[in-house]
Parts: sequence; structure tokens; C-alpha cells
Amino acid sequence: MIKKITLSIMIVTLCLVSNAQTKVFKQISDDIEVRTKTIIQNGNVIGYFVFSQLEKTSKDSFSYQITLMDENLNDIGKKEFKHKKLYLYDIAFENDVFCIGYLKRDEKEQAIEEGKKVKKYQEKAIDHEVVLQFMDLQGNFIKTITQKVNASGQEKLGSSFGRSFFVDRQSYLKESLQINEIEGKGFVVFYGDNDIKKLALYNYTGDTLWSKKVNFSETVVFSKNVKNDIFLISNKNSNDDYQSKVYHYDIITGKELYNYELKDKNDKPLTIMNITQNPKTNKLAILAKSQKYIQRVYSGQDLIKGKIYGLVTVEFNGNSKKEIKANYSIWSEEKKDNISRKGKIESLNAFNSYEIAYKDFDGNSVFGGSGIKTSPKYGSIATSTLLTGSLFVYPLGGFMIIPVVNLIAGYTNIQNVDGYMIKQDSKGGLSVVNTIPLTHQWKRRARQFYTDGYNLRNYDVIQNKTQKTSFIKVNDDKKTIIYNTSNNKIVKTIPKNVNNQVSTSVFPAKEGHVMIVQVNSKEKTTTLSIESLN
Amino acid sequence: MKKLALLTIVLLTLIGAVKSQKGKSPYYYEQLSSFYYKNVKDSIKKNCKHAIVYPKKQTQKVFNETWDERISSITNSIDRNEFLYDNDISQLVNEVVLNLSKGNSQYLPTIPIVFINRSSVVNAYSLGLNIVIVNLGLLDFVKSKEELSFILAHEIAHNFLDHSTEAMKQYAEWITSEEYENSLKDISNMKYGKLSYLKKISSAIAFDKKRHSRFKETEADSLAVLMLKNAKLPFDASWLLRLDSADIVYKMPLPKDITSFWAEYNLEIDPSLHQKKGGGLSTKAYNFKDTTTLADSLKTHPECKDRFQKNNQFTTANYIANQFSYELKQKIKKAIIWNLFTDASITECMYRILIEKEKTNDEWYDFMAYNSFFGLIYSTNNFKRFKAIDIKQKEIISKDYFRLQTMLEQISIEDLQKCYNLIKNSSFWSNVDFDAKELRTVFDSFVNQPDNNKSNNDNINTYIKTYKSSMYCELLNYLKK
Repeated sequence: MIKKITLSIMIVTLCLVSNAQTKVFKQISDDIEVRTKTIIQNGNVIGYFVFSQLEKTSKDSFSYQITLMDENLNDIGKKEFKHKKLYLYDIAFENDVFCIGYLKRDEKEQAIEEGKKVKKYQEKAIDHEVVLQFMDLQGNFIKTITQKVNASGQEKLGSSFGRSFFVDRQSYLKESLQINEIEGKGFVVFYGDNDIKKLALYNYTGDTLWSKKVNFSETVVFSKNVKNDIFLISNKNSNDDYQSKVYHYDIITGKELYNYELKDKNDKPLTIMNITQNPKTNKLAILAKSQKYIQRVYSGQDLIKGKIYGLVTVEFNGNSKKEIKANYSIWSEEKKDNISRKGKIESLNAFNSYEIAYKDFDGNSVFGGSGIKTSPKYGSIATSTLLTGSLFVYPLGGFMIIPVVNLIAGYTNIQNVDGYMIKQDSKGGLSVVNTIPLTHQWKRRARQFYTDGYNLRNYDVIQNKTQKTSFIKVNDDKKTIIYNTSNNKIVKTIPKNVNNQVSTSVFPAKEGHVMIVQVNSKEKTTTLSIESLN
Repeated sequence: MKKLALLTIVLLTLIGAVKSQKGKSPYYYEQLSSFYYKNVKDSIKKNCKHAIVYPKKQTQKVFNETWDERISSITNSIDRNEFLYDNDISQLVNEVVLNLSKGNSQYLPTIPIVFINRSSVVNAYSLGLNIVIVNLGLLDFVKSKEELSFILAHEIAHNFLDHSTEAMKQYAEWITSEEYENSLKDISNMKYGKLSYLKKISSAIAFDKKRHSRFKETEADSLAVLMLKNAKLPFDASWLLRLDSADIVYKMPLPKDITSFWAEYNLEIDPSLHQKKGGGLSTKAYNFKDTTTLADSLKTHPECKDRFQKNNQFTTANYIANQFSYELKQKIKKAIIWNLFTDASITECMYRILIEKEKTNDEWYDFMAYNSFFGLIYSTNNFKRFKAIDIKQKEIISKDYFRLQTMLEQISIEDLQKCYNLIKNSSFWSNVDFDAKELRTVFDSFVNQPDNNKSNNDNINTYIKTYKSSMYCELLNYLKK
């Protein structure tokens, strides 16, 4: 449709008339920093929070602007305030109150360069605080809480030609500040600095209901509240979702109820795929896969040799360990209907990359990913067969090298085919429930390595609680597909790069919608649209 | 026989000079400004020069740039078809201007060019250069020719007083002044609070500009009242009060329940789709105290109440208001609706259709309801539905508008297609013009095979070849792109 006609404005806008003006505008824009957070309540996007640092107002303080937007990106309010240097971590909303969490940083950090100065700084800079703001829908700060923390030395390091330097000279909390809303109670806040981990519950007026130090050494990667339960999920190594433990806390007292190590039947650690709420029971559910070994880079050969050997759902149904229910589907130990001991889905003659997991609205666990099909590498087989035979004729010939290469490269090709969603029943049985038609992308040697996040298709689940429908978003070859799992239909096909000019990204938005961001590199424009999945 | 003649005269008077609009589109494609005002545009480019000379080179440069920008703003508007020439509307406006010119030769030495802007916003403005712009939204809003006379007199007064050139001069002088340069140097040397200081300078300029602007508005009001008096035209200060209620269309309720409209077309739209599902901050009772907005003192116009009080003493007692003919008003309303549609403002377009549909039995509005469903399908297929619906906050719209936008947001593409097909097969089509009927072939092709560019373009080309004067060609040329 024709573009909106804009009214001509006769009195011209400011135009650059002098170098002085250009210089001033640049100086001012250099001071401006903007961070945007999606406001999520009960798993749904309910608005957007834009936090802008406008300018430095004194030696150690800045002026900030909060812009609140509703779920349709309409502005509902702006507020300015002054504070020492702040870094926005998280925001939650409940009972018409926002709880906003920042790290107040030491302004001295700005001066840090590299080498010796870093050490010098690390020794003296200790002036960090966690700041929690409680703000109502009238834009009033109900309360602001500050807590001293030790965040020194958590700067993000980068390196260039083997020489270490700072890519980001700011300090961060060792374990991210996370805020979750608790219906009818308030907000649960977790963070970890260099010395302690802290978990606390605040009511809507910012009063502390309880606060405690958390005494375990693993890194908390996720804090999750489900109705009246508070959970911290930790990993031994913060870089992968592996060797994880779940800590459950009492909402009234903050007391640890139990901790539970995520392991399969054979005591092997699980790889977490999703930490979610079972829509049927409203209880925490963790969906995971059993893998023989963890590595960032692996090959198709690993997959077809049974690297992934099972799927597991752990449900946390009560306040005691006894109420934890684990449902195992381990095909390497026990042959499942339609699944071979190596994990091949026999009816489809394909393996599955298992990249996504979610709970459907009937409470079933669904696991899925791209189908991987194998086929013989006829060329390699033929050349090897022929040339192996030739060895007797030309024992010293250079042809010998080809069969050896083939032996190393393998005789199997793999191909990324459709997406398969597998439902786990209450007894651990598995069945294919959805086949998402996707581009059969590549055919390559099974032994060729591919890495997470590079060749995989990035699956996401978008759930519409009102309509009780789950949608799968997949980044296919040249398009993003959104698939309705209830009626087995593709509801949206969004081209990723139109004529190499418009690149498109898709993000979750308000319930039943996605946000489509299109960047036109030629016209240098960005358009944003929130589109219904109906 | 005499009675019959009298009846004929009465009927003719009622119908008015404008032809019946029933089932017809309000204008032709060639009446859009890029065609109709091509020569005027060239003439503006060629002849609109200024004689203002500044001793300071930089000031002259800025003024020249500002002047050129004003000229290109007008010519660009003409090129972008922002204006429309319509004989009936122009006749009315010209009549009003001619009446104003009587007794006002000193203020109106030459008759100004009045462009009709296609915008639905209730507004009129003067550009200097003896040009006045009147939006269709304003023509829809005014209740009488007398009210329009006052508004045009107000804009002509701005022209006569050369307010817009004055504003440009002020801007050029300030931006190149030593004071401004020094302020920038101050900012550059400041360690802290650079943005606040720049804002302070800007708001001081803005305040000065707005203060002048308010003064200029008052000045234009006074001169307009005088011009009406000289031309022996009535004045009513309550027109000024009415300006406060401009742009209330979307705050007005629909004449009947929205679901009854759908029932008329046999559309089976689930009534629950009119209720918002899922939460969001938009549903909350927020009243955010905005700490960043400009003070009231920065408004450009004085308050309507103040303007009323200042001029109420000049109100003419017992005058007879001459209303626009019904047919002309219909033409204006239709043009607004079509323009909103081509502008991809589907909710606004549909809401106005529902309001008008209830007042008249003109099938053109049914045709536009069909178009709106097409527009939404097209927008959905091109990921532009969000923009087409343009969700407004509940505080600025009526409950009915909210229900309509919620339904348009939540309805599935399948249901939209069902609605489209049902309206397509309704009985009203026999009473609309051929060019409207034939649009169905083109739209069908877009609905049924959205990705078949060749077939869609072929259908458009055939249509444009057959109905090259049709108003609808504007949209089709866009769809072709």
C-alpha cells in the first residue's frame, strides 16, 4: 500500500550550519547509550523497556531516561532521573509494579586502559552496587534499594594478535542479576558477585520479605519461578548446559527444600534443552537429552553413531524430592518402537538433531530438530574399489593415496531434511507428531564437522496460551518458517534476504504474534512489524 | 403545472449543483496533483524567488537553503500526489475566496492558490508565496461555508502578514548569530550537562518561536475577523471553540453494534474476536507522569477558549449558515475514505465506512468494505498488517474503534479470505461503476496467488489500459511495484 503521506512542514528542521554544531552533536551523541529489554510476564511479552543514558551531569553521575512501550510499541510514558553510572540487567512486572535491576558501576572504570593499569584498577575499584527500583504505572519510584557488591575484575577480555586487551572495560556481576515476578507475592531477585550469591524476595512496595546467601559453588545460569516455587539452576561449567543441579526454595521462608542433580539412569549428566512450566500442572519441567559426550564441534558421523542416546523429562511436582518425576526414553539401552538403538527414526529412515524441546498444552514433552538422512557415498566407494584393485598392478603408484583418503573421509553422506517433532508419552515411548517441510539443504560427508549454531537451523517455540497452540519457528535455508503444530500447517513464510537487499529477522512478540524486523541495506531503512500468527 | 415546476426546483436545489455521487468514485486519477498541477509546479519552481539580502554570507546561505527547502516541499507534495484537484470542491473554495476578496483588496491583492490536501487530518495552513493548503479533513469538519470563510481568511491573513517568511528569516538569523555560535562553543567546552544545555538553548528558541507563533495566530485571527467584516460575511466565535473537538471521528461510537455490520454482509466473524485476548501493558490503567514533555507555553496556538473569548464580541447575531450540499459532503467523505485506504490505514478507513454506511444507502461504501478486507489480506501477506491496523491506545479511541482494531488484529487469514469472498459475491455490485467492479479481477489474483507477480502485473496492466482515468489506478500502480 502507498506510504503514509506526511504533512509538509514549512519551517525547516535544524540543519547543520557549522562545524561547531556538528562537533557538539557528535560529542552529545557519543555520551548516549541505549539498552532495550522485553518485559515478560507469565511467559508473554507485555511491553518494552528502553533505558537510555543521556549525558554526564557531574563528575560521577549521569541523567537517564526510561521509555515504556506497550506490547504494540506505543509509548505509554517517559521518565528522567539522575544517578551514578548504571547498567541495566533485568526488569519484571507484576501487580502494576515494575521491578528494575541495575549494577551501579564505578565511574573510574572508564579510565582503564590495558596492561598494568588493569591490575592497578582491580586492586582499588570496589565501589559497585546492585540497584533495585520499584516503579508504579504512574511513573513514580515507590522505592529504590541499593546493595554493595564486589564486581571488580569481571571485565570482558578480548585479545588481538596474542596480546590481551579489553573489549569492554566495564564491570559485570559474576552471575547475572535476574528478576522474576511471583503472582500475589512480589519479585524474586538473584545475583552473584565475586564473593556471594544472593537470593531475595521483595513485595510490591520494595520491602524485603526474606533474603539469603546461597551456599553452593556452581554457577547459577537460570532462576525460575513457577507459581509458588523458586528454583535456581546451576551448571558446573557456565559455558554449557551440562552437569546441572536444580535448587528448590520455599517461597515463604526462602529455605532450601532440596537440590537435585540432573542425571540419567546411569548417573550420566543430562544436557538441558528447556527449563519450562508444564501448562497442565503449572509445575517446573526440565527437558533434556542424554549425550555420550559434550563437544561444541561434532560431525554427522557422531550423530549416526548414537551420540545422542536418549531424551528425558524431569518434573518438579512438589516440595520434596520424592515428588520429582523423571521420564526416561533411553533408546541405547532399550529398543523403542520406531527408534533404533542408535537413535534412528525407522519409519522416516532418519536421525534427529534434537535442537528444541517444549511442553505442549496437554502436558506432553515434545522434542525436535532437523532430520538427518544418510546415503552411501557412491563415488568414494567406486574409486576405492577400483583403485584398491589396481594396487596389485601398480604397487608403487600414487593411486594408493585415494583409497586412504576415502577411508578417512568415510563412505557415508548425510543430508539435512525436514524437521521432526517427537512426542514423549508417559511411559517414555516416542512418536513422530509433526513433520515440518524444510529445504533439504546440504549433502556432505558424514565425517565432516559441523558446529552448534552454525549449520543447525535454530528452532524456537512460540506458544499462544489463550488458543493453547504451539508454533515452531525455524530458520530454513532462505526463509524463516512458522509452523502451527496443532493443524500441521506453515502459517508464515518469511524470506530472509530479499534480492540480497532486505534482510529479515523474526523475534517473539506479544501473545500469538512475532516481531518481524526488516533491514533494507540499499535504502538504509529498518521496518518493524508485529504480525499475528493466526 | 406550476406546482410541478416548483417541486422540480426544490428537488434540484436539494440535490445541488454537484452530480449524484451514489455508487461513484469521488474523483479521477488525472485529478491528482502530479498530473493536474504539473504546470503549476513548474511555475512555482521558476517564479518563486525572494529578494531578501543579508550582509552576512552564512545567513544568506541558510536563508536561501530554507527558502529552497520550502519550494521543494511544495513541489514534492505535488509530485507525491498529496494534493487533489476537484472541480466541485475547487468551485466551493474559489467561491469562498472570491467572496472574501470583496472589500479586502488591500489584503487580497491577488487571489491565492488553494491546494486541497488529501489528508484526513482537520487542518489548513499557509505556506507563504500566496499559497494556502486546506485538508479534506477540514472540509469534512466545517459545518458551513461561513466557517470555511473564516478559516481561509485566517490562512490568507498569515500570507498577507508574511508570517512564514518571517519565521524563516528569524531561523536563519539565529542559527548564524554570534550568540548561537558562542553557545555551541560553550557546550563544546563543557565537561558535564551538554545535552541539557543544548535542550535549554533549543527550548529558549522554541519558546521564542512559539511565543511569536501564538502572537501571529492571534494577529491572523484579528485580521480574519476584519476581513469577514469588510466582505460583509458573518463571523461566529463558536467556530474557534469547535476546533477543540477536531479529530474526534475515532472517539465517536458507531451508530449500531459492530457485529450487525458484519451480519449485513453475512460475514461469520466470531464475536469473541472483538475482545482483546492476552494481557499487555496497553490494557493497564497507566497514567505515566511524563517528566520529559514540553511545557504548555510551547504550544503553537493559543487555547481555543482564549481565542473564543477574545473574538466573541465580533460574533454576528442571527446569520443564516450556508451548508455544503449533501452530495459535495459525500464526495469529500468518499475521497477521505479512499485516501485512507491507499494510505494503508485500514482500521481508520473501515471505521469511517461503517459510520457513513449507516447514513446512506450508497453501495460505494460496501465496495470499500470489500476493498478493506482485500487491503488487510494484502498487508498480511506482505507482513504489513501491523502498520495497516495501526493499533491506537484505548485512551484516544472509542470502545467501538477498539473492538474493530482488536478484531482486525485477531482474525485469521483464512477468515479474512472468507469475508473477502462473501463480500465479493454480495448483491450490491450491480450498483457500483464498472471500474470498481473490475477491480475484483485484479484483487482476486493477489488474494489467490500472492506470489505470482507476472499474472498480478498482467491483470493490473489490463485494468489500467481499460480504465486509465479511474481513481483506482493510483493503488494499482503501487501494487505493480
